[in-house]
Amino acid sequence: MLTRDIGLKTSILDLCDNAIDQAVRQDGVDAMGLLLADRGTAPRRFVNRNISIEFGPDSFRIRDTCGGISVDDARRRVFLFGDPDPAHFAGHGLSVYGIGMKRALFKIGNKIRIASATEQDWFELEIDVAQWKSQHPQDWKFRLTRSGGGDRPADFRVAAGQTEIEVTALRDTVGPRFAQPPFVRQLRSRMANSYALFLMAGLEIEVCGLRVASSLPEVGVSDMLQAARHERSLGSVDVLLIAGITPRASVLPGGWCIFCNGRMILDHDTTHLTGWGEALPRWHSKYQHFVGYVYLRGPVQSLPWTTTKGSLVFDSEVYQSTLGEMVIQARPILAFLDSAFPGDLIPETAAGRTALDSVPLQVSEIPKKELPFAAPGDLAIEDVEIRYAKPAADLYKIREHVDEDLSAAQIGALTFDYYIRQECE
Amino acid sequence: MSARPSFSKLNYLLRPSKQVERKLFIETFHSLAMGGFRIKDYTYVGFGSIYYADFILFHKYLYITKMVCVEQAKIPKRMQFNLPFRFIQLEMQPFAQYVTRLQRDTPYIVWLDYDIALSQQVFADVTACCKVLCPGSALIVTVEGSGKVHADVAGADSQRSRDQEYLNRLKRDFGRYYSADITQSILSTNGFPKFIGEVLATKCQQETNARKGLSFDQLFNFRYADGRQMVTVGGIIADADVSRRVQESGVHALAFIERGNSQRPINLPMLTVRERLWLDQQIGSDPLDAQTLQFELDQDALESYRQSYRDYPNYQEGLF
Repeated sequence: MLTRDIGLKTSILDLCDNAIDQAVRQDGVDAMGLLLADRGTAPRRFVNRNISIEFGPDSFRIRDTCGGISVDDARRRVFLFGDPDPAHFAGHGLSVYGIGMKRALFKIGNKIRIASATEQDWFELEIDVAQWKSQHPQDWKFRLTRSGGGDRPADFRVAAGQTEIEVTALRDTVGPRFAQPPFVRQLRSRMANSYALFLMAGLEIEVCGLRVASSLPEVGVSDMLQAARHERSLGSVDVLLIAGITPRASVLPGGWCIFCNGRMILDHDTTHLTGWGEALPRWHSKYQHFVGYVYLRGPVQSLPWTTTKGSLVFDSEVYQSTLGEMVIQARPILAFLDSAFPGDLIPETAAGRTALDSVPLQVSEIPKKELPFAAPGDLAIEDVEIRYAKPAADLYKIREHVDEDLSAAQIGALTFDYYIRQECE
Repeated sequence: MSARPSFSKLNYLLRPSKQVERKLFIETFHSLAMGGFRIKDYTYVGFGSIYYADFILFHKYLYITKMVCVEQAKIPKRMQFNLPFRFIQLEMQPFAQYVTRLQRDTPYIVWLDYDIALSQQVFADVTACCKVLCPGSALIVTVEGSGKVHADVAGADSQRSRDQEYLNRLKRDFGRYYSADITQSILSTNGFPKFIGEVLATKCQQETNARKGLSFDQLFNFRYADGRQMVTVGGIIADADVSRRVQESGVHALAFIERGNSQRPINLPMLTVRERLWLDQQIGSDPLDAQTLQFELDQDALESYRQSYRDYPNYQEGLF
């Protein structure tokens, strides 16, 4: 039941979230600070923090150097369902409700071994999920297999500041997916997007031996095209909105991306969750170059993310206010796309063509100030090609009436001009 | 590529029903001012066109001096030439572009006075206003409201199928904002303006309600025709305090205020100057009966005049 609503890639991201959460707290890094207006101090960076993930048909392993888990934290917080410490959620971390790690591990497999060490202590925990589940719910607790302070035993391979989680006896559906190359590629790509800001801040992530590179969102800019940028505060939550139009060559889908404390929650969403078809018009192919990026930063419990971090709590006050701002900032962009790509008569106007002839700019490179969306104005009166079929007999009639040498195209133009002259002027 | 703007077809100053509507707004804002709303300090945002009729009236009778005219027609010199007061800020761009510049803490009167039918684009402008305007601001929306079926409905080769296709579009685009089924009856002369009024009012309420603690305190639901049928819906963006002050201002007691889906027609009977002056002399005496008048006028027209005599425009030719 606990694992039903969570996907496999999301589970792995949940494990990364826990590691990053630890590193953020220890190093005091504010990933979203990279995008916000300069506060006069250089943003802090991660130092020697890396996460390494390896998996195959039979096993899964994640190792990190994000600070390690203390024995006290393990007993009082990490291995309980729901975090009993409200202070933990007052910071700008990624650990939302204290169930992500357990749920993620159960999603992957049945035999779990966790080892972690800090400068002060160390512990190891082994879980046999089938055996654990067979206990009475009141006994659903985890007991550390071994732990201690000071020196670590010789057979304890995890150094201070590190955590290693290994899962074997994978669930039936998991092993085959781990063996598929597309799964590795997709996971790496999702991490590149989801953790782009953390990667920029110095975090290193490797998936199956290959380093994940930061993939910060991009928006098109040119002499005539400027993305909108707007910052505001909603109580304890800071909101940054960047929206615009992607270049013609961009392969990115359109829609809204939403990030909470630097972590991507929604990826190019075009559903009612981000207003489409309700406060915004219905999503339409003419909007395929619209992109909007929303960054929310605040105390964990104030942000509108769900426990899986795969969606948003739509009715939350913070999100509704943010959505209102998204609607306002999207309005001129969608109006431009409506006029630039009218569709039925002219598929793409000169202004639309010019707008798409832009270059991509990462959101971190956009000037950190209030910017309105700006796009090319009406550039030229367009000629529209009209094509239609009419009975040949009618064309012959007109030819006989006017000039026997007229081509069909000339007759079309002639009759069109006649209508304009007689009815419109 | 756009159609000829309506200001080039109609002299806005000579639209009697519209002029009455503007005066009803003024009466409403006077009433709100009595309730403590500092209307003269508000910023008026409207689509003045080359006549600036609403700007002139709102400055002269509401004393507003912060005014923004948003105009998308490519006539910057003409707009500048006709500017009645230097303090009007002219913004030559579509309202959709301007909306992001509305301040979050400034009280506005925004009149989205379109001459086009309700569309997704109009809806989007209305939505953006409902999201951005601060409590105490007024939002008024006017659209064309005739139920004529557009000739461009694709794939329809008979009036019946054109109607059906049009109804399908209305259901798809606006159905969720209308409380009844969308059937052929809404395409009638009376049915369509009422439909548009309800859709606009519901949209304003829904988008405003999504902001915590705010609601749309509806005041207007007019229909009138100086040629084309038009519909206007308007009201105040309100938090609890603004709602209370609106209530206490007494504005709800004004005869033309419509807070629900009932629609108030602005119908002006055609009268000669002499007839009008005679009728004015009878105001204040016993209610007039059409049967006892010295000239032919039906009871409905008489009642319409009784309701609008103070605002009835008086047109005369002048040489300047």
